[in-house]
Amino acid sequence: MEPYEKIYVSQAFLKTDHGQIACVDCHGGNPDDPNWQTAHAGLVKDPTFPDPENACGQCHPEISAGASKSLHFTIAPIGQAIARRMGPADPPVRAALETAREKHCSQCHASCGQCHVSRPDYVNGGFLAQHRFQKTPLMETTCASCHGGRVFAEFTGLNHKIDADTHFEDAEMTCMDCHQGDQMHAPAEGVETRRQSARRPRCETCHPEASSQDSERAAHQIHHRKVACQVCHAQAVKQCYGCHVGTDAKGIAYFKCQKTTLGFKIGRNPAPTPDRPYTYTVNRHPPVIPETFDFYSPGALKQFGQSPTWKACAPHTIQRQTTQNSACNNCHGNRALFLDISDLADHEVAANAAVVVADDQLPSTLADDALPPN
Amino acid sequence: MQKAGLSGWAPLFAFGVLSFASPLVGQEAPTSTCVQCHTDVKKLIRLSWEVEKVRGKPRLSAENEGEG
Repeated sequence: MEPYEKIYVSQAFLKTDHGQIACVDCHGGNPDDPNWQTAHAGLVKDPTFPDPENACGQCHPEISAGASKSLHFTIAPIGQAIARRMGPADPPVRAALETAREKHCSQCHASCGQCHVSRPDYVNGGFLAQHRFQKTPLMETTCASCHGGRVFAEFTGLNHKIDADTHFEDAEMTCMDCHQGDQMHAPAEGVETRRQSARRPRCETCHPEASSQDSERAAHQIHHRKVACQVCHAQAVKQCYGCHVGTDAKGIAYFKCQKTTLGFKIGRNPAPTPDRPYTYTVNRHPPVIPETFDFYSPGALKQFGQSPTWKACAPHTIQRQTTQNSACNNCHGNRALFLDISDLADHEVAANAAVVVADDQLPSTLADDALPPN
Repeated sequence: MQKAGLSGWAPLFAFGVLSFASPLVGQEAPTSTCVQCHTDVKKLIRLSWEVEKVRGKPRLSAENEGEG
């Protein structure tokens, strides 16, 4: 966007309910000062962060209260993951990683305004629709700004030779068809990963028959509650193997991302729950490595092995028919599809002990490779 | 009857007098400097050049590497 486009306010906005509120009520500054520099002194660019109470809470108290504790707003699980891998540490180390978290990880938080009014700060903002509030923002300008590297590219088919997700390609769905407002705005205090979020989307909401033990399909009956839906219905996803962060000589934060691949790995579920009872899930490698924060504090992730580096994921590359579900033995006995110790770097072995599928845990090859009758 | 007829015209007469007397009638409500600038593309383009002179262009680090 051109700089002026980012801050152009349309007459149409001024006619909306939000346009009836004086600019100064939300943004501060001096509305009577014709000098732009002094007029903008004390201006609050995003009045919805860190506390949306004044700007949004006056009219939307419930949404505002929940959203300010939501995963998108706080991205708290990232801080918890860093703390787990850091372990007990001296105050200077903790302070250094806090700086790193603020400078890098926290740049991806999403406030009310950064979803409903402008693009996220992470992509340098800019109004979505000339300051007109968007009840349901467009996924291309809002979700993709932060999730463009992996999930959005997978969902819309931007990865080489990987089909777009059928929900996008065939059903013409958008992110918001599954990730609705009640999920986005749900408070998430104490949640350690987004998988623990009570309101995350579930396949069975729209496909109750497929996830039923009484399903008409034999494959669904056999794998019921043992295998996550994506194990059979997802294609390869982006795997990232290492990211360093730091601050350059000009004081600007930088990321150095190492190798990425498109791959598909099935791992064991290290902590089954009634909500996610599966033995097998699809796993993704996040970009963290022991040296990720070395610029800020060398060797700070002393307990790197406390958390797996192959994480259960929800690939957005869903197809009804995939390579692995076209014949039983495409999975059964197929070592290459399952996470093996040979897939791990030395520093990852301990961290992924509960995720690796050992040879004796591999589903055995079936004598009759024909799919059971539906 | 006559009195009643005159009193019926009185509100209309009063409205007419007040309309001419009020400087706001027939004009747009005053707008803040914020609105005047942020709804004017030409002004914003000119101001964006000034802002760039003062603050510089938003920069990315030259040390970024790989896919984000």
